[in-house]
Amino acid sequence: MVFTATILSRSDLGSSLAIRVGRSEGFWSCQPGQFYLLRTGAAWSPYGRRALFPTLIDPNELGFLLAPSNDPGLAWLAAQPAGTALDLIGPQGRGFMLHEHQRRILLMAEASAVAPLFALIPPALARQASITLLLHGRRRADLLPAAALPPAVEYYTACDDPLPGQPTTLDDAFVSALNWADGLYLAGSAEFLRQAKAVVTEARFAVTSGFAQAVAPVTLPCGVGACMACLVDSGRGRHRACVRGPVFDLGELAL
Amino acid sequence: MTGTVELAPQHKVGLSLANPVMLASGVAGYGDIQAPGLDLAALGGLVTAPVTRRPARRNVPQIQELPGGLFWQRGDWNPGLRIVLRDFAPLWRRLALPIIVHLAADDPGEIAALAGGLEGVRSVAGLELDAPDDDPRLATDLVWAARQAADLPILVRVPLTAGDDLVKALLETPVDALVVAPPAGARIDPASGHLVYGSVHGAALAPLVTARIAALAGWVEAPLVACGGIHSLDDALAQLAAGARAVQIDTAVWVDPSLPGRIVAALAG
Repeated sequence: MVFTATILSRSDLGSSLAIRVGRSEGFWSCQPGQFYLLRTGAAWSPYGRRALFPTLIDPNELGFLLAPSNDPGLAWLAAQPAGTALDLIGPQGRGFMLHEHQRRILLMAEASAVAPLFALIPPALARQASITLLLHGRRRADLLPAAALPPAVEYYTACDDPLPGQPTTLDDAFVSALNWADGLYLAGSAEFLRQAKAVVTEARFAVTSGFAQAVAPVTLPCGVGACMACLVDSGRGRHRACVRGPVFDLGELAL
Repeated sequence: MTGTVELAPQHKVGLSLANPVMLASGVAGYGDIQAPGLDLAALGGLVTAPVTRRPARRNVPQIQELPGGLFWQRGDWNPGLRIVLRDFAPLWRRLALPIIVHLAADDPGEIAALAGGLEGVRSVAGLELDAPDDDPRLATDLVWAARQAADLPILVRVPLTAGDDLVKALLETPVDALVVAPPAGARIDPASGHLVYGSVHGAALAPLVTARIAALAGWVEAPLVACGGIHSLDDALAQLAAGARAVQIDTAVWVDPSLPGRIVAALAG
């Protein structure tokens, strides 16, 4: 669906920017992990649409989180004031499958990629699930403030420039949380996911199907399945992430 | 300015389009890419994504954004002719618009095998192939190989960067139409650090393609198709006015999926 939405509000969340957009007809049938394609400006530079994962999916609003980035398209969006009309296509792709039986949800991400996991929090809380978020940032400033999360979410962070006594990696927290979690949701770079998969494999002997899902660490240039530049390898062959994903079972992803 | 367009007037069957607006190879897959806002039924024709004789899975396409455009290294990833026909020929019949299959091979034997495999497929209206811009002899061999294997109309993509020698050589073959295509380019792959080759796309190409069409229209009798740079109605009008019989819209459709339909409507009005 192609539609126009309007920026309703902008607010700083640490070094990130939270944007809420509204549309009179509402946003139907968007699942966490699906994405929208934003046209960044009426002219042709920046050229391509940008894939945006909603952090909030409400009947009348979508929320987006813009982490610090050098991308000119995201910079364009970050500079737009409230009231700006946005040209969006979506929702696109296949999102997360929040399984009915899961009651202890572990979310883990790099700060620059956390957005799609945010949208899982409201439906998981609605099912009375317990939620833990582990977040790694390259800089301390990249970490989201705890106030950005509902109080029911347990939140652990690590960064490469920590204050004394704070961790630089999530390894210990991750191993510990894996003993507790019955569902794992991941977003981050290929290296981040590779390490996470290795830890899961060691802790649980295997990445069983359905336990862990991850957003494929690829860019989505066309977002509609045409350009083939988002191909990812899985145990079942090579797939266009924008069509078959971008969420895949972690056990399927060849990283 | 709209109305039926004939891209293969010397061909016994011809290649007739309901209007001069087509989609270029690769921007809508094999017709299966139904991007929101894109109305395939409104188009004059569709060129499929490249097809190789056998499944090709080695080189994954890459895209790097440029100011005002992008660099597209197409790779060769496709399921091969047999699977393409199995999965998409029924769709082509339903689409009810001319389907031109883009053949991806730089060997006459492979081109002949591909063209032969498409001969007699009722939903295929024509073939398109790439002319290597530095090898007129090979380019002509590819066209002859396609012609000997199939009786379908043949369109040949000539990169914007190619010289007149290539065009003159192609005009000595049974080519039905020439497609002025986006220029070749090369970039450093940020992941590997190696030089990679592809094509350049973007709005800035429109006047370059228009100028090339105008230059060719002065001495080329075969129909010309403009592919590259069309990002607005004005771009399409300029290329048609310069002598193009039809236009192929490429990557702009990913950003503005309703653009082809708006151009068709404007031409009809």
